[in-house]
Amino acid sequence: MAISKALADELERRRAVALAGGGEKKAEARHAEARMTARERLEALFSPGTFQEFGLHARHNTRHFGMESREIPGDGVITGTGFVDGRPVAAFSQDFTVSGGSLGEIHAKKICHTLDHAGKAGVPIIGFNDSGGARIQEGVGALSAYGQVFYRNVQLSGVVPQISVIAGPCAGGAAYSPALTDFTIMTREHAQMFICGPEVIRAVTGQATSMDEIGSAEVQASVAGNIHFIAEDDAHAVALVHRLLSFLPSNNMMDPPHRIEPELAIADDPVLDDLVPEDPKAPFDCRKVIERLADEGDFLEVMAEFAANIVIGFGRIGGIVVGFVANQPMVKAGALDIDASDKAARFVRFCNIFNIPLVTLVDVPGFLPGVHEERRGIIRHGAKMLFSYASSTVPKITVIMRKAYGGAYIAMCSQDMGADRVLAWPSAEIAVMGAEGAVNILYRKELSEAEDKRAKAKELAEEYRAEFASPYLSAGMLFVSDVIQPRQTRSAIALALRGLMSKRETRPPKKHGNIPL
Amino acid sequence: MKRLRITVEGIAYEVTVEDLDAAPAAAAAPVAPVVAPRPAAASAPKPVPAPVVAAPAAPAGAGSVPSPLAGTVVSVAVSVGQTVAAGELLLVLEAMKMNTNIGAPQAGTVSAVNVAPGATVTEGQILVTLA
Repeated sequence: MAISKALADELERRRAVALAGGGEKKAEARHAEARMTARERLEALFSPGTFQEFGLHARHNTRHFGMESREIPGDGVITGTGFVDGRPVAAFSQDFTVSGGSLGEIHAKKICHTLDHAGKAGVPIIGFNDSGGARIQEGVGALSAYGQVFYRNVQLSGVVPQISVIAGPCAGGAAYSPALTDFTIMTREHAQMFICGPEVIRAVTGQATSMDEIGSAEVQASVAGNIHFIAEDDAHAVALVHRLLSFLPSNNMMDPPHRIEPELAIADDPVLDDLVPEDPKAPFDCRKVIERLADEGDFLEVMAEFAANIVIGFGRIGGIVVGFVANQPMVKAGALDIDASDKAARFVRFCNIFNIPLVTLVDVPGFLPGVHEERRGIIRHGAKMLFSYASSTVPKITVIMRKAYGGAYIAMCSQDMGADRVLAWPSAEIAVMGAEGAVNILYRKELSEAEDKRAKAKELAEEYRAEFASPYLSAGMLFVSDVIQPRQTRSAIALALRGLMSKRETRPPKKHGNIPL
Repeated sequence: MKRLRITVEGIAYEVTVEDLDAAPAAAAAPVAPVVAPRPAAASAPKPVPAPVVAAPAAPAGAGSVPSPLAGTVVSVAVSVGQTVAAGELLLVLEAMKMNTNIGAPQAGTVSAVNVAPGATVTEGQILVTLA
């Protein structure tokens, strides 16, 4: 009794053809460029031996332009599930060596099946994008296939973490699938992302441009803000996926992978005292504060290249996974502008979806004044910050390190936005506006009568700052829960978070709020 | 036909200027049909310098150090002819109740210092030029 040899051999023969993908020659060409093949990317992603493929025997259904007789192994995409750090994860990987990784109906069906599986199983979905685009020979069928993928990306948004890796071309409509996902990682070389390429732009508008100017990882990360991480190569991209997953729950019904020890160490960190400059005008790097607050200094910064006046990212405090949002006084004085608001607001919403508490570190002089900002809609964009914080129900802890002025103070998760704990350092200045500006309005008459206007203004400003911007004024009005030494910050946050793990807050039922987009 | 790049309120526009009094220019090339994006950038045109957000009259070059935001110059740390390393402090601005250190984007020699302490500057204004 044994399975017929002919049947067993037939399976092995079919497997060999499908597993070979675009063939050895194309794989070698990839390796010569120090790149991985589609299958190697999945092997690097999953723990060895855990990958279970589906759709290996998929066949394309292109019926025109002589495609009927062409073999397209796996229809240009590899899909399945596996394990990362012992947790199940779903993934697809487009194979550029097979028909340019072009997306046809069956190719898309495999991706959709993977997405559906991720939703049903409640596991993260990772997509490696490396495709020339729609399979033109399949015409509008290929177009609809994109729509099928987008629709599922949207249905899964807020249900399971979705991570895209751009490891090759990702052009036109194809770019919208990564755009709908939570995080996008792009390799520095060999990857392009754009809607209209340089030729189309030139043909339609006459503007001369290059791929480097519109579609490179560098531009997408720093100017466009479309991607979250630049990877140096395929292996680094996979490492970033692993790193991200280490902070994320498998789905929105689970807690993120906290590492809570039964004992909580409560110890002061005097280094934090030294980090705060004596001169309130001297800039300091808020990432240094985050590194002191995060367990083992382990901080995964997100979107580091974009809107550097605000810093966002993941870490743990006392074992509890948190999302950090911090003003960066070294860049644009830490003021909030359109890009910084967009960046922080989306991050806050991501954290809220996936039950990740928010730690907000405030040193903000205000919203950035400028004709440009006003005309481009800073009102609408800044409102996203308010909307995101106010609608978030995860534990929210705010530390006012130095400046917290005007609307930006509220936008950085003031108590009124539902912060569960607002801690202020003695260096905090919390006020409706800067002392100099306030004095000009409040003491207009005195100033116009003063002999030395400048000296009088300075004197009044100092008085105002001491009296009306003091953290004790806000603490006295209960807008600040406590004023603490910087050295006490880490243990204060850790302890507060422990006490908030059972936080439950409900909102009125509705389809969804109308966030100003 | 002449192609120019002009900057209005910090946004760079590329324009084509036609001198109507000059000899008739050759008809513009027909607009190429919109094709599906090419998969690779192998033959992409060479990169051109990114448009620099600039306010002053002088066109911004690679060595120009623009102001990241509007503010007042507090101090200038370099003088013309001085060599600087990448990241070395060039000057300090005060804006939004905060000092902003402006460092050299790359190593070079200071060929122009366009501002003095006390000067107010606009966003994009070229503060220092490096050669």
